[in-house]
Formats: sequence, C-alpha cells, structure tokens
Amino acid sequence: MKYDIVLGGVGGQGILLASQVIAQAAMNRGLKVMMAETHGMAQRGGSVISHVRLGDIYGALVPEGHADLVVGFEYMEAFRQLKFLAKGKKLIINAHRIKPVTLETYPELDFDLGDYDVLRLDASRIALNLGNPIVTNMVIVGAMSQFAQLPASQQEIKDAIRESVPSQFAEIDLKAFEEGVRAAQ
Amino acid sequence: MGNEAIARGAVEAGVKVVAAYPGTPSSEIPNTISKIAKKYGIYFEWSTNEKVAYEVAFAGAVTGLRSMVTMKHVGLNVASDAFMASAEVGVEGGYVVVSADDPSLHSSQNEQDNRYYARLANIPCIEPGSPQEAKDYTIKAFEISEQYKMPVMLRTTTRVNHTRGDVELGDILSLERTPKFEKNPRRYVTVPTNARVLRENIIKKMDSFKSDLDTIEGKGSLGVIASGIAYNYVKETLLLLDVEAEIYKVAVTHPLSNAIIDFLNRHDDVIVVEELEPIVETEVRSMAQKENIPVTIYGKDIVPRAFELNTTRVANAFRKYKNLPLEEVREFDIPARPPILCPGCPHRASFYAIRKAAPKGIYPSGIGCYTLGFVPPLSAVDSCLCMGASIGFSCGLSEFVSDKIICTIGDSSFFHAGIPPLLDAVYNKHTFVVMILDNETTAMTGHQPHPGTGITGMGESVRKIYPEKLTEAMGIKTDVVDPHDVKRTIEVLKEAVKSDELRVVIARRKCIFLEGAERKNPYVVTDECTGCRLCLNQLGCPAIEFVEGKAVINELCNGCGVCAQICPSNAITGD
Repeated sequence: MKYDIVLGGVGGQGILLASQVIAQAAMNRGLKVMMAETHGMAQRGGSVISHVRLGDIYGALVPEGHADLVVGFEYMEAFRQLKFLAKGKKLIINAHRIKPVTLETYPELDFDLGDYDVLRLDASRIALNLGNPIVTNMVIVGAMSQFAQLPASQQEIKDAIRESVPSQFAEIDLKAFEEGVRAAQ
Repeated sequence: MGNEAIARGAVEAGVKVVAAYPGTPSSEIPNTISKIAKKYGIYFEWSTNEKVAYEVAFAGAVTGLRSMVTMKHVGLNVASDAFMASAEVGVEGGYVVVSADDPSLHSSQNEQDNRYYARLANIPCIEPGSPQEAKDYTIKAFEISEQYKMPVMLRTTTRVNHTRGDVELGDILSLERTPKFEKNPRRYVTVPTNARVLRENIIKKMDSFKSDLDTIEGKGSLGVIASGIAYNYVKETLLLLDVEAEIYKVAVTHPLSNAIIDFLNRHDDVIVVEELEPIVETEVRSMAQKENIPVTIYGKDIVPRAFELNTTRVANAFRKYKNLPLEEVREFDIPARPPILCPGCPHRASFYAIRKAAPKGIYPSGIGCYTLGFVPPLSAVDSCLCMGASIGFSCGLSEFVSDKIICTIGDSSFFHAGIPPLLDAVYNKHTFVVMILDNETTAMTGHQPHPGTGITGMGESVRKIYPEKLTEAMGIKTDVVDPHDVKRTIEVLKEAVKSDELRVVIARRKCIFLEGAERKNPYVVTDECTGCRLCLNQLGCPAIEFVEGKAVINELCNGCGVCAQICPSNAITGD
C-alpha cells in the first residue's frame, strides 16, 4: 500500500502542521511515513509545497503524475502542484486567493480538470466564520479525510490533531476539522 | 527531520563540541544542538563564520573530544582553508564535518557538489539517503574519523536534511574524556618540512581505508550503482518499470570500495545514478579501465546532471537506457510567486531610502533576506555573489566607475565576512557608502544569534558588539538611523553619498518577526486616497493591494507605517 499527497500553498498557511497531522495519524497506525517540505526562501511569502508519502515508499518526493491527492491551500497554488496528480485521482481546491505581490491583478486561471475528481471549498471562509482564519489548515484536513481515501480514519486524524497542536488550540482545531468534514460531504 | 536525526546521531555518538554558522539546509542541526547542549554536556557555539566554526570544532577534536561542525555547501568554501590543512594534520577525537548541499538551489547561489571537497582534501565522505541513515551514518562517521584519525565529511542534501520520517533511536554513548592538547610541532605546525611528511601520511591512510557501510541487494543482469538519496529513486524506478537489477548502494562515496570491482565484473551493463556531478561515475569508469573489465557504464549520459533527481527523472533515465518512450510531465503555466520581504520588514524602508538618496546609483549586495531587495519595485540590489561580497565588490567598483555606490550588508553577514573588506576600503581609500541593514538577528536562516545580539548559542548573555564601534574605530564616519524614520534615513544617506568619502550608515530595527519587535495593528487607507499608486509601486508590500482605483491595506499589515510616511495625500493612518 502506498498513498502519496502533495500540498501546495503560500508561506504562513499552516501547510506543515496539516502535513504533520496526516503523517502522525498514519504513523500511529504503523505505516512508514516520509515528508519533504520547502524551507528558507519559500517562507517569505513564496509558494510552499509539502510532500507526504505513506506506506511502501523509499524517497520523500512524490513522482510527478503519481500523486493520489493534491491539495491547494490557495487557488493558484492548487494548479501549480497539479503536475503531481495522477489521472483519475483527487484534487482539493481552496477558493481563497492570495495575489502574488509581483502581479497587478489575480490572474484568470482556467484548466480542464476533467481528468480529476475535484472538490472545491472555501476553507478560509469557513475558518473565518469559526472566528480564526488560522484554522483554515484544519478545515482542509477535515475535507481531506472526508473526500479522499486517506490511510487513516477520521478518529485517528482527530487523535493526531490532539497530539500535534498546543492544547489551548485543540478545541478550535477539532471544530475546524469537523466543519471541513461537513463541507466535503 | 533529517537534521534532527543528525543532531541525535551526534548525541548518541557522545559528541562534546559543536560549532556552526547557520545556512539552509543545515541550520536545524545546530538549532537542535543549541537547545540540548547543556543537558548533554556539549559545548556549542554559533561562530562568526564557517571557518571559525571549523577551527573551534577542530580544536575540540585535536584535544580528543568528539566534535562536529555544520554548514551549508557554500559554507565550506569559507572554511576551506582550515579544512584542507586539517585533513592532513588529522585529529584525535572523532571529527565530523557536515556539508549540507542544496541540489536545485532551493535557497542558495549555486549547486556545487561538495563531494569534490572530500576528494580535494582526501578525507572519507559518507552520504546518507534518509533520516534514519542520517542518524546512523553520523555515528559511523565519528567512528571512522576516530579510527583513521582524520576528519570525515558527512555530505547531505536538502532532501535528506529536510525530510521528515520515523527514526529508530539508539543508546547515548557516555564518553568521559579529559581534553588535552599534546604539543607536537611536527604535526600541528604545517611548515613545509612537516607538511611533506603529513602529505605522505594521508595518502597511506587513505590507501589503507576500508569500510563495510556499502550494501548490495537484488538480482538481475543489469547492475545499478546508486549513492545517497539517489538509491531511493532507483528502488522506486525498478518497481515502477518492473525491472530487475542488482543494486550496489554507495554509502562511502570517497574512497570507493574495491567491492565495486567484483560488482562490475558481474555485469555487462551498469548504470551509475547519483545527484549532481559524475563523481562516482568517473571513478567507476577509472576502475573498469584499470581492471580491464568489459562492462558498459552509463551515467550522466542518461541521468540529468543539473538539479535534484526524483523518481520521474531516474525512471526516464532507465527508459532511455531501454530505448522506451519517456514519461512526459504535464506542465501548467502558472505565474510565479517568488519570495518577498515580509510586511513590515525594515529592509523595505531601507531599500526605498537608497533609491531616493541615489536614484542612479549602483547597489551591490550579498546573502540574506535583504537579497530580496532585487525584486521590483524595490530594485535596490544589483549584485549578490556571496557572504560579505558587497563591500569587497564595491571596493573594486568604486575605483573603476564614477557612479555613486551604496552597498548593503546584513548585520550577521557584516560580522561573518564584512570586516576585512571594510578595512581594505579604509586602507586603499575607496569611496562609497556601506549600509549595514541591522535587524539584530540572522533572519533568513531562522533568527540565530550573532556577536551583535548579546546572546550565545548556549543561551548566555554576553557583551553586545556594535558594528558602529568597529567602523568608528576604523576611522569611518558612521551614522545610525531607524529605517522606519523614512525622511531622516533618506537625508542621512543623501549626505553620505554627497560627501565623497567612505561612509557607513547603520539602519537598525529588529526583524519584524523577532521576539520583541514592534508590531502594530494594520494601518487603514482613508477617503483621501487619490489612487496614485505610489505606495503600491514603490514599496512592493504584500499588505498593500489596489481595489477599485484605491489602495487597500490587508490583514498582513504589521503596522510599520512606512506607507503612511510616503503617501503624498496623507491618506494612510494607523495607531
């Protein structure tokens, strides 16, 4: 068994924590886990990418065209990582748009997504409604657990959230997770 | 994380001395050691640069303590003088030199392959390919170093340093050693008479080198030799393409084991898969030639040389070998989202002031967050060669062109490599303006302290060194400004440029994300906004957007107020 995920977004969106939660849940189940993340320059508002590989794997990088799931924490970033997704597999797109400073206006992006199974949601709005945009990442984790066949149950992921976040944030993070599950139903 | 695994490996091996200058992708090794040094009785220091770090840790190893120095690949360029000589002098306690290379230049100015350095110095080089190996090989490196009494390079790459995975821990070795420097001028004083003997010794040592770290697995008529992280991609490629092969996994990439000769003898075709330079490949070819083995060797003719490998690229190399159609990667045309200076970053205001003070000037710079000043609209960085190069480059440039020159250097870079070129500027009467962008930390690599911060790697408070005291002692007129006082900064810079003498202007304000930095609520744009776009077009701040003909400040704003100071309509207000 092997399950490959690529998460893309913008520095500061909490992609690393989201990746860690999924990885922790899989690790608790006894699966081999590897994660590769971008560091350094990319943290300064640039594109951020995280590879999460679960199961029978060797390297930390997901081969292009072979991912089971691609998640865009930001609209444009979803498409930036689309080259990793295998045909027929799942794509989650957060509607939230963050304009690159180097562009005048947010570009119109139109790609044929007919090859993929797509879930669109506005995780950032859901998080804002919960009172804190910072929990967008956990809304997306909830949506991932509902929409994709992650090799970890929703209960296991909730346990992993409790393990991974500071205790004072556990409640709102778990609430965000539940809202994400609902948005994907 | 691979870097935490290396730190753990060092602790398990009983390391007692660690020194470092931060640099991506190596920084989390010393960051981790810094947190646990006291607990495990380790002496740790953030050194002023990699050469000093190398010498500090080397001293530990010479006195018999297990010691480690960590740096990014280009850090070894800085440390190379000490590195080369120390290889021949040798050590008493194990000495591990971690060189974290950065294939694909995720956060670097080049992608040099430091395995060349191990060959240049003629010391063993070990290459882990996973977090587990990162820990295990660190321990092995200490053992090998102690066995052969010479430094050992642990060569990692970004994908090893920054890969997270489960790592099985081992016991922590308790080594009670009393450090002692045994005087031995014939060894430690490298005058030619002594160094000639050392030179012959190191050749003998390396000729006698043996290690059992390499492994062989699998069966097949095809042979594959893979080193470091490339091994993982080979394993996945064989599964993906359903190809059988015998794999020789190279853990020690210098010197190569003679076991490779038998391996070559068993196969008609051998593919060498390694990231970056054809180092193993070249040596394997040389072995085949020397031993007269009738084997066809494939390497960089089918495996890409530039940038990091992945399973897709390695699989395509195997397809080329088998004359199969290549797998095309579907590319989507997405506008770039380059990294930029953070909202409220004091460098933004400094660069704005530079452009105002010398609009037609030349702006040499160097390595740090501030390199991002090259991005339009700031466009106030015209060159970046390496750490500290802005001042040395300006020394030369000011002699050859008549343009006004304002060069920039960060505080950490100034201590690292900025002082000797500034002395040169005084000595040789070069005329330009040095702006020290002092954000009171090493920001780019994650806020490590340095001599100007008054905190050591062990968390101790010490006397701060102020750059202005150094520059004034050199006889250079020095001004200290707050870059967020935009008007004064521009005035001081203008005056400095006009003075036609060597001048230093220190722009001091804490990195916006440093503990204790002043952060305020977002500013707001009032109805006075005329939509002139000046703030948007001159600052390039991610917190300023333009919506329906007017500027809007978003939630990213940290309240630095620089935009309010430059707005010609006074249409931006804050706390």
